[in-house]
Amino acid sequence: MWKDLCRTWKKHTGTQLATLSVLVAAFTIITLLLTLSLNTQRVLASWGDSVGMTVYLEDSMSQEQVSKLKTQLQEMHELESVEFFSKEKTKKDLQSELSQVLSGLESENLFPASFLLKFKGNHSEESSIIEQTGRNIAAFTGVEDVSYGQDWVRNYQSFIVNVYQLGAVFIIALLLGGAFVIGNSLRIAIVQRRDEIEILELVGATYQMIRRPYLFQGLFMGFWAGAFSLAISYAVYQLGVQAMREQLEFFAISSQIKFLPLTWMLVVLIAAMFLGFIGSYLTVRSLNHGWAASQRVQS
Amino acid sequence: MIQFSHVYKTYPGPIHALKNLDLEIKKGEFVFLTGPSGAGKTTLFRMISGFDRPNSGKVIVCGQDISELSAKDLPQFRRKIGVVFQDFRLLMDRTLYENVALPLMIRKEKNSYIEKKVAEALGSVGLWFKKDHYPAQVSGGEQQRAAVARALVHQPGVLIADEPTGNLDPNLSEEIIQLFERVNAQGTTVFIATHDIDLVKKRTKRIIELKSGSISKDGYEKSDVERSL
Repeated sequence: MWKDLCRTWKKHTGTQLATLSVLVAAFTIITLLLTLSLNTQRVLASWGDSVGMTVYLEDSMSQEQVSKLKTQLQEMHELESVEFFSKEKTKKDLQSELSQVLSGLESENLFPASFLLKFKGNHSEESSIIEQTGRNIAAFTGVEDVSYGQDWVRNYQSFIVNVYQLGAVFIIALLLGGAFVIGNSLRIAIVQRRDEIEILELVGATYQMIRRPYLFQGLFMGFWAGAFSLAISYAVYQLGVQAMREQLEFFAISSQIKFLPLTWMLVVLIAAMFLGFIGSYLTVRSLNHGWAASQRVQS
Repeated sequence: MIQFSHVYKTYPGPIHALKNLDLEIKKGEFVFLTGPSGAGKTTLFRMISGFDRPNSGKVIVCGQDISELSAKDLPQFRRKIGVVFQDFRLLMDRTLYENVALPLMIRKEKNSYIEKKVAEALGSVGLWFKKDHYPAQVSGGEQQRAAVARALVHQPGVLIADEPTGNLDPNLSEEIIQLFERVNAQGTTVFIATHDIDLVKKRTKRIIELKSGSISKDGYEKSDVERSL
């Protein structure tokens, strides 16, 4: 099989290189998209973890009512923590942070008492739960307002869904394109080697014997396409991280960006090999059916 | 060995390549198939070599009914026959040795057995000394002899040759036919399609003539030499 492979590469170097280049380009895009998708998910999830909810209380609430409300909130299973901020504590905290701006308001305390709520990890990624919980809490006695960055939660959710959908469509299109390219390249090689297939059929080679070198060729092509695309993607990733480190130092995003984990790299490699195999199989099957020679000349 | 019973073959057009063909060739016979272009010679040979099937009728070769051969049975069937074509059909990127060894390699024979048989086959056609040459490095006659060696290396019961001398000059053509005669003398059934009437007339052999898909003549004819005596 190696001999056949070498023969094909030697005989059709141009076609083989062109095919490999197209496949490497397709798989590089796929790998970069996967990297982008996984990192977007990671960054947004870490931002999502910080989604909290502030429950502002009416000024008229007694100590007893506040305690009762706190118990009600602590009993809600969606919440991880419930922290109370009295009017005095809120004013004091803000004064220490914004002393100059609030210097004229020392005599009055206009800030309401509040509860700061944190959601459990699995709920922080689901906007519908956050919104429902917000509506439930707003109905409690003594609650004046509930604030949880409603728009951010909705946008975050729809952004994640869009990223996944677009990525999936793009990857499927590239995979189909890849299979087509491998198939076409092999079709050319097979048409050029049609004589050989006919002669092999003539002397009694089985389908497996005839197809095996082509399938091996497809696997080989897929393997190198996957390997080269991973190497190129890693180089692009390194350049990207370097650029982010220089341009977006303030946001410290570069430390959160990671390349594909080993499992995903293996998935890319296996997918490329599988694609090579399938492309080859479909093509060779259409030409090697035991009657190839009879379809050329008939008298 | 080869039997055609009421065989019809029609290609899209419609072209009636074979019409109600009845034919029987016994084991060990040497038969020439002649006829003008388009008479159906190639169709007949394709059927014998399992490259085509009849629309109706029966084609039985080496005890196998071609119409009933499944795709899986085809390779096994083809290993029982030897085929030689006008255009040699050698693999140009393999040496003569590798070309001749092909039928045995496909059967997964041992290397020592392959070496012995290829040496015998190439020796019998006088090409052992050129075993490492590629087809492009040898003459047309030598290529055809290599093709004959490949067709014989696995000792088939039937050797069929479709215009084996079509691309060769008269001397080389004679040489190839003599080679077929030697093979036939060893017990192999030989069936040759040819346009070359001169070659046929030199021998007293059974001749089948095809015209428009039907047999117009079938019998033994004396050679010119015998006739002149």
